[in-house]
Amino acid sequence: MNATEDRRLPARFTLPVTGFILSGIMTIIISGISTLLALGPGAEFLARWPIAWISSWIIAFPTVLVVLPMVRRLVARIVAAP
Amino acid sequence: MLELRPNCECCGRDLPPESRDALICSFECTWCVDCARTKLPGGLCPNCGGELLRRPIRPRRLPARFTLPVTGFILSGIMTIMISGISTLLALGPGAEFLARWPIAWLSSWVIAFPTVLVVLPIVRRIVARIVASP
Repeated sequence: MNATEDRRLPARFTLPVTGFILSGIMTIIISGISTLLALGPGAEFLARWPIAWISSWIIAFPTVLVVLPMVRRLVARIVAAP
Repeated sequence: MLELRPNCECCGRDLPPESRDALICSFECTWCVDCARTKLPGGLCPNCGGELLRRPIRPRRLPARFTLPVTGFILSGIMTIMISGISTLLALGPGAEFLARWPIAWLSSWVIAFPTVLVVLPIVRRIVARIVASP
């Protein structure tokens, strides 16, 4: 790709962007399943899911920024590089 | 990367990556210490005449295909222990009930989070590659 046409963010944004999307998708799924298991399907589930999602995302995003580099270092000691 | 040949080229003895009994020349011809001492003239490589030095060990690793499952297992484990801890603490406050409920909340969220992260992580990588330049 031509450098002048590459409108992507610089590589240093890889960790924050990965952490933001990963924590967002993980928490929407996990909070949905947890809320569904706790309340069962219905109006209360639909009302509570967004609140559970946002509050768990607020916790999960900074957590994954710290945890992801630690996990990469751990995995590099267990698994051969591709 | 240094080629780690699996056997002694003289006696055929196994020389796995973590073996400390392997000697190599600069072309990576590989010999066991016993053959180098007793059978190779002057303790030199019979192919190139160069000196033989001990081959550094390479620690055992799982094959690269285990990267995703191992990453997902550890990542989901650490994420869920922290998130379930904070969520349970916020819901119940500190105390005995918190300590009793946290492990249950952790394990049940890990059971969900582990398969989820196996699906989600490759999708996230593809999305990130479209947003952020590769390093």
